[in-house]
Amino acid sequence: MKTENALELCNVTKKYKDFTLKNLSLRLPQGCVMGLIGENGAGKSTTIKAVTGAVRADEGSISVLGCDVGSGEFQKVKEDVGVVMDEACFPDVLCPRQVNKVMKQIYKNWEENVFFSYLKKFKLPEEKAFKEFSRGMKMKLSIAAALSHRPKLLILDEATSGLDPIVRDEILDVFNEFTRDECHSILISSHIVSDLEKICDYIAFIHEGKLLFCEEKDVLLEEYGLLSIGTKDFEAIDPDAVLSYRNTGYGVEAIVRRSMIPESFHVERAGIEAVMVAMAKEVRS
Amino acid sequence: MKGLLLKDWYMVVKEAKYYLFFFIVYAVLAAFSGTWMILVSINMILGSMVVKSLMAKEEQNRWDSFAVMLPVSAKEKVMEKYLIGFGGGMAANMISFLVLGIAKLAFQRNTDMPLLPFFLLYTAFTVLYIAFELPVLFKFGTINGRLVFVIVCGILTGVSVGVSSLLGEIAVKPEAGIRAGVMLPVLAAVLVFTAVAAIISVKLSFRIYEKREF
Repeated sequence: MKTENALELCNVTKKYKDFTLKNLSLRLPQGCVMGLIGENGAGKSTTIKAVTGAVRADEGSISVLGCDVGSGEFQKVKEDVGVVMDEACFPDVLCPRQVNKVMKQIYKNWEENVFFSYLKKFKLPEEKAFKEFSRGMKMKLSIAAALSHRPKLLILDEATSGLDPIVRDEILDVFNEFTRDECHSILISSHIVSDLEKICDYIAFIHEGKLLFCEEKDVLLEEYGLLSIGTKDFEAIDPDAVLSYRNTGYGVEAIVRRSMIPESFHVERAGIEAVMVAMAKEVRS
Repeated sequence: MKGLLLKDWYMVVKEAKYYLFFFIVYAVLAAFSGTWMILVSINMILGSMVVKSLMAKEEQNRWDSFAVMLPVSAKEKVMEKYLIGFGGGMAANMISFLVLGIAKLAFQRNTDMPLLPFFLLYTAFTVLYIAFELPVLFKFGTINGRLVFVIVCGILTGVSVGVSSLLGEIAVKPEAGIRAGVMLPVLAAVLVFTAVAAIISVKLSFRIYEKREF
């Protein structure tokens, strides 16, 4: 199945008693990495659940690798999708060797030599029960399993949360390696925006169930910047250019739209996290 | 389905020795007590609870939500649980009736009881138990569904003891002239009812599972 977009969400709405994901539209081109960012309860996990078919959208359509999630064909497409959730989901009595045997029966494309090479790479014991693993080890095993059936799309829900920086870096390297193939795509949600900044091509920011933006990371970093100036100079800046600001005691630090700032001011590069926080504040105000 | 069965097998094996211990203890108690029907029923329910225990662990490990993304159809996921449930119940029944048989031959216990019809009856009860249990577990999960589960357990223990007592009465009183005339139709009725209940249950569970969100 050849498709340009690995993932397509069109006006997806999912209503719960106390939360609604509203009219979410996203497109993840094949070969790209998209990061879903947002506060707790913003709708990232609901989005991922809708994409994996764990919840059904009330309105809108979702297609994964060119196949509608609600269709019967999606069953076959699941062979090409690797999923890692925020918690490793293997029964805790199983050891990696048994996980291999189980997955070998489930996935037609399962490659045990790939699985065992990941176990080796991640230094995971083959015979130790899953319940005796640390969180980092559990996540590594989940990632190894998700990658061992040659998926074209990886869906990662907070897969790096709660891990130490060294493990996270190791895992990000694996994701980077995965995306070297131009047919491979990743949808990743995380609170750790710095991780997403390292690997993502696109950033989608969900806030209170709405998509605030879905933009190429470089465009985003080009569009917004950090301006550090004195209070008097700041008053002269067009208020529409300012997303958020704070007084530092020496002056003002503001996240601004670069295009609206006079060239005489030096606008530094702002991180995605700073832009995200600024936008969330702007929406609240 | 093979992969799911293998996973459940690995999980069951870890606890198999405890189940086996209780199956044997209850079977021996059943064989050497005057209340074998109650104890065999308890054994059957204990065996059928293997699947509930597995599903509880799956929920705890969040395997159930992970399984949604596996390339296994909803039908296979549902049927696999029926197989495990039936397997657990039948393992208990087989041990119970094996011990009852040994006690009958070696120690002349319950000599007037025809074991084969009762084995068939308990096989039907096992299927019935699973048929009532699984839609509840698929619908509410093992935590929220526990009250309904206890009610189902209670009703089915009562029914199995009641029906087998009735058949026992018939079996040990051939002089009443009803043994052949009644036992067979009762057994046949139970088997037919069980088959219908099982088909409805599987369809219902499949429907529930397809609509379920994780």
